Amino acid sequence: MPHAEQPAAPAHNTTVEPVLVVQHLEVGIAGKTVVRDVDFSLPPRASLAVIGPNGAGKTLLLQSLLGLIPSRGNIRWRTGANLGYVPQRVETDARLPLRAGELLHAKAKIQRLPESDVRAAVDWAGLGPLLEQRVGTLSSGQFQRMLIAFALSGSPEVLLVDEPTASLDELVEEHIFELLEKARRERGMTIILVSHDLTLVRGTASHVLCLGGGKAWFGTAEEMLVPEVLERVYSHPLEFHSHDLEGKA
Amino acid sequence: MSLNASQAYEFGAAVLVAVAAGLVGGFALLKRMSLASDVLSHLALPGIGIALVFQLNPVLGAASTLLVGTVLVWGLEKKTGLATEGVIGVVFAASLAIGALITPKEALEEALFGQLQPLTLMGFLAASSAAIAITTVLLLRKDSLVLALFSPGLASSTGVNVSRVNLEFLLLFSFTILVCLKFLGALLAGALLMIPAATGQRLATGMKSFLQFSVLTSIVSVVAGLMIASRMPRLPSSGPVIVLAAAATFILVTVFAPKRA
Repeated sequence: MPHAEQPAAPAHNTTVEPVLVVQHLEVGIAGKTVVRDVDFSLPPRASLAVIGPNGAGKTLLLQSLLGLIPSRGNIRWRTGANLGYVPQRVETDARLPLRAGELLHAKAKIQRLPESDVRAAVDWAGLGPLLEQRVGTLSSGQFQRMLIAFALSGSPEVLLVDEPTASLDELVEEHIFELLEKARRERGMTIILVSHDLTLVRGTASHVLCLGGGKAWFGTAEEMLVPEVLERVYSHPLEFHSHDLEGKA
Repeated sequence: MSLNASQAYEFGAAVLVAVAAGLVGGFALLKRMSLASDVLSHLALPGIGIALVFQLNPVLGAASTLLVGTVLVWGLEKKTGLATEGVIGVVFAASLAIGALITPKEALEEALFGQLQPLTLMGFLAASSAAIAITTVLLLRKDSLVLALFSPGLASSTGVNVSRVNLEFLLLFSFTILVCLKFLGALLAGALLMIPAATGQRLATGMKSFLQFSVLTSIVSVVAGLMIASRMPRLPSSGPVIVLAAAATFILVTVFAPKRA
C-alpha cells in the first residue's frame, strides 16, 4: 500500500474557504432515504475518505455531490470549482467501436479543453500506448487508468473517486492509489474517495466521512479511525478492521 | 448513364439522405434502437393514411404521428427504463394496423414501400435541406452522444444533459425516417438506418471509422438500389431494391472482411 504524506490542509482552518460545504444532506433511492443529516465542510487539498458497510449510501452520496441524482439539503461547492469523476464501474459493450483516445477527445471537445490538457492527463495516467485501443478490450486496470485520465483532463480541483479498485488485483490497485495520491500531492487537488479499504484510508485520508445505519459521522482521520467509531458505523465488532488499524497505528 | 433533371434530383437528394441515414443509423445501432426504428417508421403510416383521407400532404401527416411517437418512446424510456420493449412492440403492431385500415388501398403500397416517381426541384430542395440539417446537428452533437453512449453518469458529470441529448437524438432519428419515407416507405425506412450501420460495425476500428463506413455503405446501397430500380421499369418502388443492396453489402462484408475485435 502506498504510504502518503499527510495532506497539508489543516483540519479546522477557518481562514481558508472550504472547497465544499454540505448541510443537512439527505440522499436516497426509489423514494427511500438511505442516509440523512450529512454535515461537513472540506478544506482545499484535503483527502476525504467515505467509508461504511455495503448499502450505506456511499455511492449515492458521491452521485448527489456531483448532482447526478436529486437530494435534499445543501451542497455548496466553491464558486468555479471544477470536478472530475471516476465512477466505480462502467458497463461497456465490448463491441462498442470507441477508442480510448476518442473518448478523451470527446470530453475535450465538449469542455473545449486544449489538446495539451488531454495530453498531460494521458501522460499522467500512462495511457499513451493504449489510446488506439478500443475501450472494450482494455484490462480492468487499463480501463481504470483511462477513467482517471478522463477525470484528470480539464485539470479539476476536486476528484471524486468511487471505489476505484473494486475489481482490480492488488498490484494494479496499488498503482491506481499511487496515481491518485500523486494527483493530490503534485496537482494540489482535493480528493473525495469512496473506499472499503481501511488500511488505505488510514494511509491517505486527512478526513473521514462514515456512513452507516442511515447516519453520518465526520471528522479527521485520527478522530474517526478508532475502533469505537468504526464499530458503531459497521454495527458489529470489527475484528478484521480493528486488527488492521492496530497494525498500522 | 445520362440522367435527366428529375433523376439527377433523385440521386442528389438520395446521396444526402444516405449520409444522414448512415450517421443517425450508426448511433441508433449503438443505442440498440433497431426495434425503435421499426416502431417509429411504422408510426408514419397512420399519419399518411389520415392525411390522405383528409386530402392533406402525406408528409405532414407522417411528420405529426412520428413526432407524437418519438415523444412517446422518449417518455417511456425515461419513465419506465427497461419496460419499454413490450410497449414498443404494442405501438409497432397497433400503428401498422391503424395505418393499414385508414390508408386508401391504392396509396398503401406506396406508403409501405416508397415510390419511384420523379423528384421535383421542390422535393429535391426539401429532402436535401432536411438531410443537410440532420447531418449538421448530428455532427455537432456527436461528442455528447459518444459520452452518453459510453456512460450516462460520466457524461452528466462532464456537463452533458443526457436526457436532452437522448430526446434530440430521437427527434433527429424520426426526422431521418421521415426523409427516408419517400425512397423506402414506412416498412423499409428503418432498414436504411440499421443495415449500413451494422456493416460499418463489422469494419470499424473506432468511432470515426465506424461512422465513415456506415455512411459509405449507406451511399453505396442507395445509389446502387436507385440505379438498379431505374433499369427495371416494372418495379413499383425502389425501396426493396435499396434495402436488398444494403443487405448484400452487409453479407459481402461479413463473409470477406477481416474480423475485428
